[in-house]
Amino acid sequence: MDIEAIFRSHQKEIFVYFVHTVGDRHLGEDLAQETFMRACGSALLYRGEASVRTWLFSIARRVLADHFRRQSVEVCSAVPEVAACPPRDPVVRLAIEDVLRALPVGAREALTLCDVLGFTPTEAANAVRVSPNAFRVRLHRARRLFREAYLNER
Amino acid sequence: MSAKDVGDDERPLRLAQLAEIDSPEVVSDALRRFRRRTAAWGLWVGGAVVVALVLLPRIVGSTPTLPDRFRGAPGDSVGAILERHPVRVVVLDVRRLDRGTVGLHVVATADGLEEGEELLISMPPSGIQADRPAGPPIEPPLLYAEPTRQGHAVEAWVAFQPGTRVLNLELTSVGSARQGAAGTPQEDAFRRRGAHPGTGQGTPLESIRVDMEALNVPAWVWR
Repeated sequence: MDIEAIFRSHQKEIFVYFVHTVGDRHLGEDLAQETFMRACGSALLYRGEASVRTWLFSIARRVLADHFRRQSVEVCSAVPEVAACPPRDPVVRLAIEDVLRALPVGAREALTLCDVLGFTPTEAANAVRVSPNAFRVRLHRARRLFREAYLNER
Repeated sequence: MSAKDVGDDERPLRLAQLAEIDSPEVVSDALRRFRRRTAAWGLWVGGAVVVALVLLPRIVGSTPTLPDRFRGAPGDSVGAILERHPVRVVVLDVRRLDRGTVGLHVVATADGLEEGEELLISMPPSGIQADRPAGPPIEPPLLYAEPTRQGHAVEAWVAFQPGTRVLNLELTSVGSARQGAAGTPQEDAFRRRGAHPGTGQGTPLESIRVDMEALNVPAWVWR
């Protein structure tokens, strides 16, 4: 089993998750690296009860929680970065990123998992270790917050 | 930009484009860091084990022996001699080692030991519960012995609980031609006699009963 190949297939998703929850590319890279390091350490304990993707994201979630615990911050105030790839509409994209970054962490996370990375609410609930119903409520609120903030922004 | 751009309660469609970013190579770096950390951890653990193996004998070795504890401990001289041919035991002194322990210092010799023969002193298992006039069961005495005079004498220190009136000491010789070379009648006789109950080896010489009250050892030792 080539663990490096398995990890690499989820590398981008994990990175995207961190970029949009912490709002900083460099920090996202560090946290993604930390996630895969921890995954190496706990690979022997992985029993295949959840998908590799869910397992990796549950580790990423813990890395994120540890980061915020150390920082004692609720909302990231990092300076927004321009995306590294050409956006369809750079102005819109920056606006979206700004609005997303201004949301509470829980909302940012819910939107990143489901609306950016395409997790189903059940998959995302497993990754963050809450019940699917609780996560659906969180996602619903996050989407409402995003919509209100975005409309106000524009 | 209107509400329809963000949809209703359904997924805000435009958010999906946020996944289109260049991802740096983090897996290789993570694996490299993990291997380095594991190797460093292994070195630390290995080093700690080596250090412990090197230091442990020194620490254990530096634990004070009974003779060490005797030196400087308060006590009294006794100077009593107990003889049962061919052995002789001189009770030199008694010491108060700590609140719950007293000590007895003796030297034992034996007549007629041959070249290469060594005198051993022991406390037999049956005599571990040394005589006491009354009281609850006591901790077994602790004996520390060192051969002297090319093995023909032995100096011993015994630690025991206060209130112990009698200690039984057994003297044995080992390494004697009397025990016989292989296949000789002496060896057969030695083997038939069996192992000494106290030491499990050698030729039993004599048992010496050290009655401290009878020897006028200070009462704080045996009362």
